[in-house]
Amino acid sequence: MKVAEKFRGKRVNIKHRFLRTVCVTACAMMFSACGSKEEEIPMGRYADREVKLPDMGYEYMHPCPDGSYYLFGNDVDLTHVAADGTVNRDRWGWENNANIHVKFSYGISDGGAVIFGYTPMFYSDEEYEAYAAEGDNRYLYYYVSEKGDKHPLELYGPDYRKATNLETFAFAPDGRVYAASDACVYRINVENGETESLFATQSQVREFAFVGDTMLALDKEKAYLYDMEGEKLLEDNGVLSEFTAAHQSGRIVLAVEDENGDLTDEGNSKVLYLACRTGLYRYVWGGSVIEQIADGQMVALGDSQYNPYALQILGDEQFRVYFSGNYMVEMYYDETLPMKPSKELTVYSLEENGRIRYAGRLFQKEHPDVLVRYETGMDGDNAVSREDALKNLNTRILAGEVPDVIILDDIDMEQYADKGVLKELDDFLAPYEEDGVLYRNIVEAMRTTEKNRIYGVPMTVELPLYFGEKKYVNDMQGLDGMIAGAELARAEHPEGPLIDTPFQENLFDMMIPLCLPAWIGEDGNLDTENLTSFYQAAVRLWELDSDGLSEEERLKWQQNLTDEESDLTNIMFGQYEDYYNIGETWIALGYLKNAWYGITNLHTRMVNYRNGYSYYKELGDEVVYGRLTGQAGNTYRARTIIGLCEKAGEPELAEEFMELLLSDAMMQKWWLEGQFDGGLPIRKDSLASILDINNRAFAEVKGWTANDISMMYKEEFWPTEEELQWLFDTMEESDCCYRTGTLLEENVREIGFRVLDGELTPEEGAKEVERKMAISMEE
Amino acid sequence: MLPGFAGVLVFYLLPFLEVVRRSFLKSGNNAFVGVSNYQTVFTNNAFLLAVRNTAFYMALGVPILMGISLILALLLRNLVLRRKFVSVMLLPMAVPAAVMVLVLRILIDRQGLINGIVTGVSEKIAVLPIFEGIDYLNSGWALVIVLCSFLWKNTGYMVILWLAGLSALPKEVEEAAKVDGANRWQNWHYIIRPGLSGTTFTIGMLSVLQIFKSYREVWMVAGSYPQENIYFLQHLLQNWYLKLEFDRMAALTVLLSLVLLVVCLCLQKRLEQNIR
Amino acid sequence: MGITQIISGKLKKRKKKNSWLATVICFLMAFIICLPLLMIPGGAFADSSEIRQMLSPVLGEAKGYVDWHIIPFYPTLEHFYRLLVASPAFYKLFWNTVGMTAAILVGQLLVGLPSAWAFAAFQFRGRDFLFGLYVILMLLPFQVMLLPQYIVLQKFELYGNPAAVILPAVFSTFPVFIMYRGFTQIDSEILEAARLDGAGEMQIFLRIGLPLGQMGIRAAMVLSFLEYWNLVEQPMAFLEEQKDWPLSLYLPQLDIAQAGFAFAVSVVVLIPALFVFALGQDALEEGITYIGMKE
Repeated sequence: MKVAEKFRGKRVNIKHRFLRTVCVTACAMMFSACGSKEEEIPMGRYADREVKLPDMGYEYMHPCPDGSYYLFGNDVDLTHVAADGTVNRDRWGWENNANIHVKFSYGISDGGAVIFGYTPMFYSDEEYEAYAAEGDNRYLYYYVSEKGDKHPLELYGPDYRKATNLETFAFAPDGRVYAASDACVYRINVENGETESLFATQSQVREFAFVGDTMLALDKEKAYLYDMEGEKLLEDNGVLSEFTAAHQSGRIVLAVEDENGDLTDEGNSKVLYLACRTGLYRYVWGGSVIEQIADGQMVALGDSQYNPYALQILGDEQFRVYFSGNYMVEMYYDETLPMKPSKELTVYSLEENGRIRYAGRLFQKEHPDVLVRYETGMDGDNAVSREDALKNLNTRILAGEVPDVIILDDIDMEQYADKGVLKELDDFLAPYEEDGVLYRNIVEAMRTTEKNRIYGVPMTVELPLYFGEKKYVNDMQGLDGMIAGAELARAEHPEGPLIDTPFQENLFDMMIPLCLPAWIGEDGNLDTENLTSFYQAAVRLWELDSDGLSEEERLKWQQNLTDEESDLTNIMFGQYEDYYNIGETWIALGYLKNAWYGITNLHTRMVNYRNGYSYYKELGDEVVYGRLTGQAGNTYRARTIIGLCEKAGEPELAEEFMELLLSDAMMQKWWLEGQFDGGLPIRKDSLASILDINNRAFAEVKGWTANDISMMYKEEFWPTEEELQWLFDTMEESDCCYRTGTLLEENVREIGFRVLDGELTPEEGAKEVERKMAISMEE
Repeated sequence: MLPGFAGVLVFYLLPFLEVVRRSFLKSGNNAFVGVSNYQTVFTNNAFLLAVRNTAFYMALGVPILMGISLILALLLRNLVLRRKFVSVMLLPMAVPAAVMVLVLRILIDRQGLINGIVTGVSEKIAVLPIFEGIDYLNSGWALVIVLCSFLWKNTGYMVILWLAGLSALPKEVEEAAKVDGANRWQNWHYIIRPGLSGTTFTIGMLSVLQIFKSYREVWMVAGSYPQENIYFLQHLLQNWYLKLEFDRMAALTVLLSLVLLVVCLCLQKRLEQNIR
Repeated sequence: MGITQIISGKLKKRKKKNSWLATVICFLMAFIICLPLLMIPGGAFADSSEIRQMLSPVLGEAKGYVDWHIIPFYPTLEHFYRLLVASPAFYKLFWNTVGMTAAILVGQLLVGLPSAWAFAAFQFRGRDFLFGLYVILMLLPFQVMLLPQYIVLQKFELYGNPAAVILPAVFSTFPVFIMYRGFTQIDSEILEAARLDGAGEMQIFLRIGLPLGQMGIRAAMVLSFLEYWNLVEQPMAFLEEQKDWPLSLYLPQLDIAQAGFAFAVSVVVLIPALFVFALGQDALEEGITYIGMKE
């Protein structure tokens, strides 16, 4: 063919160029693969230390120019902490204003004047309705002068209508008060409540700073510059505005080194410091760059749990940062630290785990040369499912980039162990065994079926428990006992919920951990007989529970628990929930989730040992409790199962990190900080001391608001010595581990819903599970 | 073309070769194990089930999709409002998968909209027996549902492709034939059909591609272990991946691509013969 | 002259009749296809409790069947408020999607067009095999390519960078496949004639290839747009930080109780897509014609 001939020359050409491209690409790949990473690490970087705050419950901090600061919050009085650490909270004494329900949006002056928004307390339905009738999100305001004169403050907008949308209060050094709505910045006259709008903003201003007569205001997109004397908006600083827009996902706090003089004076440039999640920054006014002086990842700023709320310059390269969640650190420059950590410890968990986050921070502080990278597979409300997250994890494992420490909650430990991803922990655990500090029975129950080795150790466990009147729960052994008790209770109380299971999944949450280990027979196959009787029991319990509830009642119950706008959650802030469940159910079946904060429940929601215990104790000696059992004997629920990776890049560090997690200090510390959720420590000494501390320090009477808006109080009872001993014994005898994240459980649940709905009989359900599992086992 | 090829090389061909390499290694320790991965795949019952289902689904889905879209394209080709129709038909494709799945779940749940409507109708006609409602996803209907949603999503696009193919046919021939008194069937059989063989190949291949892609929706609706009829090769692949069995996956992929290559080359040969 | 007039008049008549029937059928088809879509605006404007109530049978909270109001009883903008006002991340993600899709489409045009043209216009050894390879690479499921692509991206230190999603997509063989088909429909005689006339390869490509193959180009762009506009798996696997994510990952997980919000998101996602269909197609066509006419 003519054409072909004509282009013969071209073909050769193509071939040549093709080969060349291949070579170039291959070379490029090789180069990037063996790029060396050896370099000298310069020394010196910022580090931080936590500042012990005088009380819990603060929500706001105001830094004063003299290095002192004020703390304030919802349930606490205004507190002044002088530069030398002297705490003074006696001067005001007005925290208990009976009209104030919740405070927020505080502004404090250097002299101690306070303005804040609040929602009022209601003493009758009429009062509440009158308040609610005027619209949602209505805030009221309160003002306290430096001298201590206090009065509710009615603010009026420029149109002389009541202003209820102001937040972000700030006192300028000259005493004038400013505030922001979502579209405007105002000046407020605290004498008569008049406001004057100064300039419009694109979104709510979240941070003010004052220098002489100029005000800096940061919203999400821009940094506004306002001349307070000349009352006009000046041209904004482009560099600062750009920075603001680029960091809009979190909060930015701002402090100026010298608050006197003039910001715009060119001869005397002011130095600004900005703190946000990504780090601490320094900006010389008028300059073209904002320089990062501390990387967020290496100081507390990078912790996604906290948002910076206030920044204070202490001079001498020291700073104070106050965070949401009442947490404060002092940052200081440490010349002995390497600028960049030379090692990296990677910790992976499927979902965010507060303890790991906390331990990571602690570990990094102890090892300044190590950067702890804590990675989570799924976070928040987005399209990443558990499967997607696991797929990403597996991609990395298969590509040879294993994390050093892996938290095995919701991950199928056996599978990863069988594939050689996890490291055997028998050696690691040997010293613990000698000491005898861990509950050996609990650790032993973690052995895998296939290799009979230990690959993961839980930090805490939850124990299944029942509470109830003696006549109902006297013989609560196994599923039959559970049903028998429920039948008795139902016979006497034909109306209302029986066990605390508003949703079907609550029933499974409660029952599956008791039985799951019993469904895999000795031969490794599914034990359909056990599964069938499990389904039968579930159906029976659900029937018994539903007998006393009409469909509408159940729906209402469920809605009360889920709807954000239901009366319950709105008025009660969740506390009523506890009462509702306990008060309305005759047998409580659930998990001891925390020695202090959570015995029972009552599955996923709530009650703690003390609370649950107290509720029932109030009913008299007729109430008993004990270990709840199903088909699998003395089970426990494992939480925060720590595993180490076989091919970890930093095996020693990984072991050290695990030691930290299992240390008594760690278990107690985060527990004392209220971070402790989900379980009893598997260290004997920690459990004992936690319960001991409680006994001494936290006995109290607890109050709530009931649904008729009246307050009610309940006495708290503390367990006796024998009762505590019972708890320790129960820990000792737990020898069967229930782990989340298995395919079997997923299938049992999914099909279980159809069984409870009556679509399938229990036998058919068990068959269906078997069929589904068969495909998986074939794979 | 060359930069294009370099990119393909880096992002597709080299990765694919890596897959081929790994198909001979044991996952985990990367020891060479020869063809044992292939043996595992072939003797695997889940594999056989998945192959059967996938083949059946494709044998059903591809021709139906091609047929429906061709008919629509033939109907549409001379319409003034053509582009509007096509745009409307493309809409399902623009719906995010997550939302499509939500809609689907609302429709086909046992207590869903479809069962509700059917019940409503059957109650009005008293003669009919009482309709109990069908649990579509857990019965033989599952494949039908998957098929329908696949058709729903992809018809619009295939219509576009057919239209593109049709537009390339020389109009004059057809018009001349019409003048000659050719009826519609003759017109189709002698003029349109031969002219479309290339397009048919393209659309066939694309239908296969789209069938592979429809997996995510199937998975989102029915999970990793769905009703037996809709357990496809990708379920197997995904589940293996979750179990870290990349070696088997790789072997399966190599097998799959061999089959596809053979099919593709055969079709192309036939296509060329056709043209000649 | 006279005869052709008669013929064309006849043809026109026929055409009209034909199109009336066809219109009805197509209208029906379009209607059927759109029917499930009608649920979306209904859900997007209904308030949460109404949705919950409508869906309670699916949620397993009530007996009976789902009852869906195409026009909600209590219309509200709460979901749109939550999406457009209360969540600033939305805009970031939205522009991420726009940027990503645009970059991919432009890249595919730049990379794919020459490749497709080469396949269509030149005979070179191994062409069939290479083309077959392209087809296979197009068909490979992403699950399998995930790991090796990840390794490659890591080697180039692209992981976590938007380029990790954009580059593989740009070099996808799929648009080549479709555009190739468009080009093969050009009569080879035309090309030959042009070559004999001494037209340069570039000229032939611009003045003959582009205009005549534009149906293929358009088809490739439309499908690419749809695909990458709602891309889920690649960004999920190759992007680390949420700030780089496209909008498609913003949708909450399959929580049916959040249906209203999900529907609102999809309305917002659908609108630009519609816009692109309405304007983009014509613009593309014009652009191609324009390039073809230049020089």
